[in-house]
Amino acid sequence: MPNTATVYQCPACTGPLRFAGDSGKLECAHCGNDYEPATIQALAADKERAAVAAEEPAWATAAAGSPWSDAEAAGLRVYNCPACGAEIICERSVAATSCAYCGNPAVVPKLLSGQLRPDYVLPFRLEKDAAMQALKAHYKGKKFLPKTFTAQNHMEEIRGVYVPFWLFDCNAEAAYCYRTTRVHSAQTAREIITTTEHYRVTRGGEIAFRRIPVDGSTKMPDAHMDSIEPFDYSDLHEFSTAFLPGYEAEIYDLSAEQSAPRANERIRESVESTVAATVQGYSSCAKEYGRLQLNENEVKYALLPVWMLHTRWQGKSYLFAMNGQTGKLIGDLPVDKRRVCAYFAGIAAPLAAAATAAVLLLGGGF
Amino acid sequence: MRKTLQKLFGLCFGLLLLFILAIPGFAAQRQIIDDAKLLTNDELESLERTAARLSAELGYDFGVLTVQSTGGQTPIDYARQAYDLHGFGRGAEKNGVLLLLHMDERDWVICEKQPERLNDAVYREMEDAMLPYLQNGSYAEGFAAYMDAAVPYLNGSRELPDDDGMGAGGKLALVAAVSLLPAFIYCAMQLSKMKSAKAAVNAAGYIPQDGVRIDQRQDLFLHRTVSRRPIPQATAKSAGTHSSSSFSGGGFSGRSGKF
Repeated sequence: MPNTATVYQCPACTGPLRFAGDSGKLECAHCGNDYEPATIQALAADKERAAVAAEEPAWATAAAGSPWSDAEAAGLRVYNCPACGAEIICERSVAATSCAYCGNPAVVPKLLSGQLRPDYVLPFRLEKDAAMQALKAHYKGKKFLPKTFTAQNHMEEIRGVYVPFWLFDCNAEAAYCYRTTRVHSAQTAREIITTTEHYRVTRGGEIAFRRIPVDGSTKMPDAHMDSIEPFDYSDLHEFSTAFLPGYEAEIYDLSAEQSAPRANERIRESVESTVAATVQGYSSCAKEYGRLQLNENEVKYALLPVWMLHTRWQGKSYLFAMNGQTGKLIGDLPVDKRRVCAYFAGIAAPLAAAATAAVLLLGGGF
Repeated sequence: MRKTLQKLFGLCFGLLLLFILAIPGFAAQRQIIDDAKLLTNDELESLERTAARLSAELGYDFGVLTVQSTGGQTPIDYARQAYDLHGFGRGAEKNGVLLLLHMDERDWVICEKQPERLNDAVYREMEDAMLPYLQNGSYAEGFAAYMDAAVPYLNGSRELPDDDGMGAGGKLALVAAVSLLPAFIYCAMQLSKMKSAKAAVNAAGYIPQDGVRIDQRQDLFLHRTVSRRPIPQATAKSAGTHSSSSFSGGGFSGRSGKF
């Protein structure tokens, strides 16, 4: 039978701890600190749990989406874009003429198969006119926007698309350990005495997250979809094809498992900042280790409403997306470098002339 | 009786002469006064000769005064008073400059009588020229350097530099900063408006009300460390580094600092 011995380390200096029979405490021969055995055991257990939980949290993705019924599938038509790979579902009565993502006019109809039926749909609240108005407003006040860009892009091609999203729910159980210090200073006539108290701070608890949206489309830039958040989930409906007429719906090409790391990243960032905010009253705080476990986690598949305009200008693609509920519109704009230079010179030249005149008048020359 | 009166008169005259000679204003004109005993006799004589020659050539006195203590006065005030008291300066306007060294606190003051023939830029050149010598304890060389640095500006071989502390390069940099910086800031602000898509980094917006429950809180004191740092004393403070600043007022302009 192999001999196993647990060596406890001093939390202050990491030296080995020795049990002192007379005091009933664990003592450190290096730094002289002593600890209750129960405290040290709890710290060691925390560390072990943290090491176990360091791997990526797992999500219960089996419940996301469901198979299409034959009747629903019969009423839908799928178009595939050979250029960018996007797959769009439309009502059978609607014929897609171009890809909403890349503008390619040669979209190919195909059969709906192997895809999940969404759990929820969030209907469009704003119409196409609102999207056109928002886009016009987006162009306003942009001094470096090329005039030809606004003249040449086709606002009438704004299209309403239900974008596939995975909605992540969980209760994140967190336990974090920090090394903190409190610094006090006192001054005598000859010296400054700085006393630094070192602490080991642990915080644990649970933080709930509800319906974090992560788009399941590789064609849709993540930054675009993140930027038009939040969506108003109070209007979320059980999925029905009745919400599709007049719009297109993209089929996801990123599974819930593939999308989960983005949700994990956002959850971890929020948990860390929320827990760290409870560590107060210290001069410094450094995270030692943390444990994050996602309980009661659930993923759902939803279609969320987005107005989109894809346009090309001088050989480059520009994609604008507007939240179909709130009207929040985003999209990077091209920059007219000549206008940048003109504005720069227009500001710098008069100021340089004024400054030169001031130097000549006050300073007597260069 | 008459002889006694003559002796008494002679004694009084002698005392009066001694008194008059003891008063700086009535004393023979000395430009190098080394009360702190920093110079050898040879160094003192050599510097006196140089100062006298420059005084005659330029119509401008270079005074040097070294003291151990200023008796509680600020070095600048002491230098101003000493300038008049020791009778420095040439002509009706008392043209000249005095270098005071205050050894207890290692202060130096360059103090020029107004209207000035030098300016702050020249004072800085004088400071730069003499300070390395003063810090090494080579006082005679330091005093000579202090005079040499100013001579070209007084004899007209060099034009006075701008006294705003800024050369042509500095002025060009100022003009560039004043004109380019606002243009750069405006353009950067406008360019930032052209980019509106940003990836989200957290999910704070998806935490419901009452969704945060932190119920484990433990703050365990581990140990304490104490460090002690001596407060630099005044004498220690003046050693090693030096800083200087300009002054003007009370009929004098100049520059002062530590060495």
